[in-house]
Amino acid sequence: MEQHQESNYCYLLEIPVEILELILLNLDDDKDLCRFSQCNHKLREIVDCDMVWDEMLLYRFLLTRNECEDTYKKYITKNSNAISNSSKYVYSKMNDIFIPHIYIFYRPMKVIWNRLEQWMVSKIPEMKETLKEPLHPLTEIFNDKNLKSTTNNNNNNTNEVKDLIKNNKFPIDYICSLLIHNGQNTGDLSTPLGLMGTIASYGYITSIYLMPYKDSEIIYRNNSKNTIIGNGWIIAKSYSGRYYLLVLVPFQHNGVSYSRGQVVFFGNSLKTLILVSNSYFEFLESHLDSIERKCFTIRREVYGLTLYRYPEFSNFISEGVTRGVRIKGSAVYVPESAQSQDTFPFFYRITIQMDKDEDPSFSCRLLSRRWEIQRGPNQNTEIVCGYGVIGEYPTIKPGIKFEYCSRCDLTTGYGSMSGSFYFVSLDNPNFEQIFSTIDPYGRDIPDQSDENQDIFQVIVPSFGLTNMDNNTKQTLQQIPLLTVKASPRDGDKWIERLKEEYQALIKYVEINKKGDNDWFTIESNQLGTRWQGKCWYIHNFKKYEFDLEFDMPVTYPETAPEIAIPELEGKTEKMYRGGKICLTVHFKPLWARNVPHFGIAHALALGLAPWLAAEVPYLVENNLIPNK
Amino acid sequence: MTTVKLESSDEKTYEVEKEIACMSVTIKNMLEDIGETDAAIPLPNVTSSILEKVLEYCKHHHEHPSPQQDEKKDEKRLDDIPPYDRDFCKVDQPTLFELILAANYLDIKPLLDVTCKTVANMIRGKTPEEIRKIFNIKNDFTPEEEEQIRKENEWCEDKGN
Repeated sequence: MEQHQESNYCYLLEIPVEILELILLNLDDDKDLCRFSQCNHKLREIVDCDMVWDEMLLYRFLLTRNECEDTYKKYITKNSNAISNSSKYVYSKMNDIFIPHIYIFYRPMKVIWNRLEQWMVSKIPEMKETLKEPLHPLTEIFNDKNLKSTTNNNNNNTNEVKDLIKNNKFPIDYICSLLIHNGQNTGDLSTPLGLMGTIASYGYITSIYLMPYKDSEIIYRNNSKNTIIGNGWIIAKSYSGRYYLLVLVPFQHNGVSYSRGQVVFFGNSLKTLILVSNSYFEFLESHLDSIERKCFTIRREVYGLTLYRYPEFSNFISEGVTRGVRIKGSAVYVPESAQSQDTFPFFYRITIQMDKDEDPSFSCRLLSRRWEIQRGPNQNTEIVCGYGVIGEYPTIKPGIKFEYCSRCDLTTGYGSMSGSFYFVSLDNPNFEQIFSTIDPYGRDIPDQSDENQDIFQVIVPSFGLTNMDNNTKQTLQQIPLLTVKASPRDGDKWIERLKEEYQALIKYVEINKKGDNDWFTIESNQLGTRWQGKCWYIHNFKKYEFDLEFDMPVTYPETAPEIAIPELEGKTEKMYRGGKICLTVHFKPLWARNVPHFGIAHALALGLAPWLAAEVPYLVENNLIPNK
Repeated sequence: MTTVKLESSDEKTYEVEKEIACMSVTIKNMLEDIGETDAAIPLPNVTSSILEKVLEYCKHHHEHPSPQQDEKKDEKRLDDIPPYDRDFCKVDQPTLFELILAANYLDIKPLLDVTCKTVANMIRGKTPEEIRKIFNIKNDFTPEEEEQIRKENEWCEDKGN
């Protein structure tokens, strides 16, 4: 090349095509590619090849070319015979459908929806059937004639919202979501298949659906414009009036400011607001996280499978029985409802019941309850007393079941609750008198310790509030704890520690094998400083196996080992350089609290196992790993 | 310190630390194939001036191992170039393209990446006419062809950004 020193020589066209393609890979803007292709014949041929534009389709829309063709054919009824067979043409059609600035959110939103769909297919296939076709962006939101016909409303707020809608001022992530699925079909009430989950208590059942655009619009129009709802757009709703509101106009409520784009959940009344997320995207993503991590229960009901927002069955149900009154308690971590980063919200569920064949003379009425709550590992027990439960005084007779759910916020991911429930027998001669003196707001709750013959108590022993998957916790409790605190530099003490490490690992493997859940092999070098092995994960009946490795940190056991799966490096964001897996924010504090009792077995159970459970399905779905 | 000898196409010989030379996968493989040797490794595709630049790059990165960013899968196209590399690529076009070819031949991925990114940055945001001018690309379309191609690509220009 050095012989061509004249200034008008074109070096660019002299380099091999493979290298030109490498350069193209760095151009992520279709505009740059289009312009580059207009320079001359050769560049046109290179840039406009299907490979380049197929990649752009995947990059922008996470769709293969065939999927794109299906998508845009839905919108194009005329001139369908004009379809050329180049990928660039397909891309330009997608570009017509998706307004270019929407690109930015389309892709991440598509990732969330792909995972949601995957979860539905594997857990509640009927739910996927309820998803609606994508919204046609050009006709329904952007040129909405219907909204213009309602301009005779005088309320300022409303007009503001209307302007937002008319001027296409919905948050882009919401629009992108509609362009993937326009909410759910809410027509059939008999099947609770609400994507946001179902709540069942007090004998009623209500399911929260993700709303299609039109339904939101109807609610918007029918609602009083002076309420909080007038400041936004209902995006999810149950038939009993539970709402998720996407805030469009900033407002204040009870001294709290809510800003545009945030998602707010209305509690039992339309006046109680819970900030769910800061954006629509976060709203769907955190919900997805909850269901993927099995924070919600899937139950089979008469109408089929249903996603429950509360745990009915749990390995950690705690139960107490006195005089035929059986009370069960359990809790579940619901991160999506956190109001700040420092709180760990839990929903707990209490079931009070009496068996059908129980002695009717045991019939009684609940008077008060007393909770002992430990909100974190190093915190004092907090005592919460009050009359009734959730404002009610249920009467319990044979065959009667009373359930309720409530919420408890912790300051860490781990805590516990235990409760005493006080009842008065219906036969009690002082019954009327006891209940007539109740002051629901007063503090004069009967002394729990006195020998009051009129009142009996049912104790619900402590149940855990933990954001760990139940199985993990159960397994963890069976792994022996270690006692020797020694690092690889501590000579003989380290040998003792190693012995304990192996004992714990052997026990853990035994537990796994017994549960038919064997998932790793591991061994160390002679000094126990370097560990290697294999781990595997079964997804959709296929086994995915990886090599794992880590070095013992010199500050072990204060510092947990950094487990790595080098072959997955660069394939997922939940990984650091060298293929080290990113552990959840809860791992480190938990490990720190348990020095030196936690060892390698615990690190695998708490760190690697949940990581595989979360990442392998993602990797498979995105074709990032082949099955072996 | 082990060193190896490299010989450019114009028969100049350079003695380089083995670790630095082995940043080139091609050289590393050659060394593995031939084993210990005092003979210079011939690099017939690389001139001395380019080889000097390449070795300068390798030496710098050997001495200043850059903390590799966690490569985010979705954002691999980001055009962030570290300052040293950006300055390193501030060369005339003949040199830049020779560096690309050398990086490709010697299989030095970071250098190939950064040079390709530099070229991509020269294309980014430019009109076809501007791109032609920068790279001396001859417009070999007839006016009719040009008009037709412009129409084909109109969808992209209408984006209003």
